[in-house]
Amino acid sequence: MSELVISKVDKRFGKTVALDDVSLRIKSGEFICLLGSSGCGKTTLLRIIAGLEQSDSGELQLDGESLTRLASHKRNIGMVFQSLALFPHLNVSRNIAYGLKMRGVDAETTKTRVEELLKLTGLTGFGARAVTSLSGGQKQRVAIARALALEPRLFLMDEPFSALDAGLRDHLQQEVKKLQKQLGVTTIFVTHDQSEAMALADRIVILNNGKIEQAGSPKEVYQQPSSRFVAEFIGANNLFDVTIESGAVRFKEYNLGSSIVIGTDLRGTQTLTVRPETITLLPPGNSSGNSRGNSSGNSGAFLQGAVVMQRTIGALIEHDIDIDGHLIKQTMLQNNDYEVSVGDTVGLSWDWSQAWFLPGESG
Amino acid sequence: MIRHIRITALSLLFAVSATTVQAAESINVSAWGGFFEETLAAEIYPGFTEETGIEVNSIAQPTSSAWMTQLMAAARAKKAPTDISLVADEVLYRGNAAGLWAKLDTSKLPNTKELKEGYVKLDDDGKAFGVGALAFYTTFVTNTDYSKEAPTSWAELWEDKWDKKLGIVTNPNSGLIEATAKTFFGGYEVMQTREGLEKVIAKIAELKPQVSLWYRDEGQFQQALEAGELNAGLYYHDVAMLSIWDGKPIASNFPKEGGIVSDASWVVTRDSKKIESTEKFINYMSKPETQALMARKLGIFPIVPRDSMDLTDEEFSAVGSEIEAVKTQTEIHLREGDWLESKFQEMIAQ
Amino acid sequence: MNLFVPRVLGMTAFGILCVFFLVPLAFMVVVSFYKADPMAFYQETFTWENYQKFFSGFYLNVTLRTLWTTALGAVLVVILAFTAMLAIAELSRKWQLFWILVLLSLMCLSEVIVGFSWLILLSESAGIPRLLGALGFWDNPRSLSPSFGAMMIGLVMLGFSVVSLILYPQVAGRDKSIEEAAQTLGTAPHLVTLYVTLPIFMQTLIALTLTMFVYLLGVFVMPIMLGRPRDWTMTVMISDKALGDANLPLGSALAVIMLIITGVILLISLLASRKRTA
Repeated sequence: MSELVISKVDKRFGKTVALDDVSLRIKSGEFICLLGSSGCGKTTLLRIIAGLEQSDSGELQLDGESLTRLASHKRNIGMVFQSLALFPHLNVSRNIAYGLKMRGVDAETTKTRVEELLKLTGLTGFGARAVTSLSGGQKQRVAIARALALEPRLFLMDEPFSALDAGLRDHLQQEVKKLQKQLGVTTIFVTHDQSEAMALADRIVILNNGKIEQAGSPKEVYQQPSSRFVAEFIGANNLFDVTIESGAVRFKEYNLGSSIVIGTDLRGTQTLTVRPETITLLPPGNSSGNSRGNSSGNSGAFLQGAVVMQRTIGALIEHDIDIDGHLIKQTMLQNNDYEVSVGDTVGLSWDWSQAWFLPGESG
Repeated sequence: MIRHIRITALSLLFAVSATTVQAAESINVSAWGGFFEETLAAEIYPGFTEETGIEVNSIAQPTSSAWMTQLMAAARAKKAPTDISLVADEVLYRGNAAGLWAKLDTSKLPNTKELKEGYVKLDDDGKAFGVGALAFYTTFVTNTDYSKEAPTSWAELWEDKWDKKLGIVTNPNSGLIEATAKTFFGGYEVMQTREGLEKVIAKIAELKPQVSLWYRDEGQFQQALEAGELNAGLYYHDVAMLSIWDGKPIASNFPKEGGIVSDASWVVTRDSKKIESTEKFINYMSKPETQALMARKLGIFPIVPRDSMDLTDEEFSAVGSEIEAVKTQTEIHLREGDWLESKFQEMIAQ
Repeated sequence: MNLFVPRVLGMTAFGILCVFFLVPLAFMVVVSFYKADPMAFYQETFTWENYQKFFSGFYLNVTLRTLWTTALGAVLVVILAFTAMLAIAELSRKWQLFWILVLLSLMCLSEVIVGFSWLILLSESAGIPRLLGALGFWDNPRSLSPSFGAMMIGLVMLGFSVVSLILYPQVAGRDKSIEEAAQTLGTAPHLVTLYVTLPIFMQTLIALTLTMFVYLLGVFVMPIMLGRPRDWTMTVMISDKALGDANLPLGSALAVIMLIITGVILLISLLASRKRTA
């Protein structure tokens, strides 16, 4: 299918920098999510790919062919807009057939293709309906079917599900994922919702202030964030500013362990990230209060603090633990054999293989 | 007659408000709005008030037919929007037929004996339903920047020398039909039958390629003539004279067939409560001195014999001419009114 | 009862409508069957005469001309206003506001003032012809009015600001991504307006055209001021009859016929547009 290479794209709107030296290679058949908060440049990048916006500099290549000078209507891309942008004056079939008609496809072929797409998107029998009479989810499907009608080289989606309720959104995400795998179309999906990106993407591209912070698989960006921004943006996380000196990793006055045991050869000031679900709570007695100024106690607890918040979300229990004014988030399954309540003093430990030092932050 | 069309709405307002202003010794007098009404109020009526002590509330009235429509409606409601009105012949006779006018005792109008023959309009009982007020000319006006030589005959309207810049009135009552009949058909006899009238109208139709403006608004014609967008046309002599005195490049010409003369009469509305005062007014307006004053101030043509007035030759030639005038054939217009109107309108609008 | 007040208000509104609209209308219909009297006003005797005169050819002719002129004017107004609003909606906010204010102030001008200004603009002594003459583009500059074109300009001017201001919020607030979607689906940018924007606004534009059609049917000043006699519309003829000749019966009959024709045209358009949406 189609490989898209984005090289050194810049875009400004007046004094605002929307994209700053963005380069990215998207493999054929890949499902990419452009993730970031509003104003990060993700939609601008998508619109430049669609040809609806011109980059100030840089180059786009699709299968080795430059897109930079190619007008939008000649790029053969399918795009689903945030507002869906269905043609209100056309019925479902005519919406889907629009691109085929523009392309001059004959009536018979068009009809077959439209039926095929209706079936593919679960809209069989809805062809003659006015688009204004459809439900939110049905409108989404029409928009998707319309975008896919021309068998586009790229399939672009701009926050298509942001207006839907959670249940429907989940459902459509799964459908889109399935459809994309089935068709093998190279897809770029813009979203500000990291869990949506996690659910959909083969690779997540995180944008911040017009720059790519990190591009990687959902697992990579989750477990091995490349920057403080990514670490905090993707999922809940605990960040510790630690110092590694003389083979010991220290946080405040706590000695978290020896760098040999932890398996790092970093030195100096570093940022350590530990996901809440990788933290284990231990009874305070076990840490016997001697962890301070010392290496881990016999229980293996690195830190000790008081539980200041506890809440239950479904199968999970969330805790906030105060370590000398530093709040640590921890989550665990409800049926844990160790139960604590607010006010209790607890010890904290984690599996070092799940902890991660942010790269390039040494001071 | 289509004098002063612009002030229709305004005059209606005045007509309504005027009915409420009824001082003990005052009458309401309406005349065609604009220059006419303003000059009458400023120059002529004060003399009457001085002589009789009766105040005059001057009212501007719209074009004659529209005014008649309003008077008709007022008469149905037994109201008199004005005591006295200045009307053209057609309205005079139609209004009389509809019973709009009060009947006046001629013995109370001694000065009307000074008027030329036929200006006191009597009904079968010998009572007057209208009294001549004044006459005015419509002439062959030209812009002297474009037409150096004064035209000497109405026939010159048909000549191909106006650069397609003629302005003609849209109304068939302008006198153009009469002028055409007199110039090309040897007199008004041809107007007696519809066939004859159709011939006259067909002759007027020959003007169409030369006419760039068929006007109903005097202001529009005058402005265009003064600016040279029109080179010639039919227009009121009195207002043309005002333009000339203003230094505008305009001439008002009396062709050899004569200028078109139209009469206007005073009528008293049927429901007026002040018949006596109105009689005094009409009596005053019929005096040769008043006629002479109106000729000087308004530029109208007086309707008393010339020797009864003290007008100089210069003053007289400014308001009219010794050449025998083209007379508006009111009976024919009344008889064929609707038919003639439609034929004329079809001719210009098709 | 809670319904009492709204009911009374409703009845009052209905009463006012009756008094100010239906009663004069009824009077007009009645008068249209009276016999015109050249010596007086009219006689209250029943006659079809006034209606027969309509079919005499001349008035039929004028009616067709009126319908055609007015329809052309309405279509031009709507097309021009729509195009102008599409252009204005692309400008910056400041300039949009500027043009809206210009349009608003245009709307304050009366028919007569608009007519007079065009009369002057099109005159050879002061207007565009003189300018063209002075610039050497026109050897013998002549007044461009009265003419059909001048009258059309007048008619379009009358409706333009109203239609523009009605269209502006809809055009400026439209979902532009629909047009972008059309582009990504292979529509060349210059065809997007034709293929997508226009069809989307079609219903609104048709409704506005019909409104303008009815509005322009009643315009009196523009044809008289800027048009030639052969351009005069039925409104001019009607007022000539009713006021100029004091022939109220014929004037009324012509007005009733125009009313019926307008009604029929509106009804047909309404039914046609219903069918389209169904």
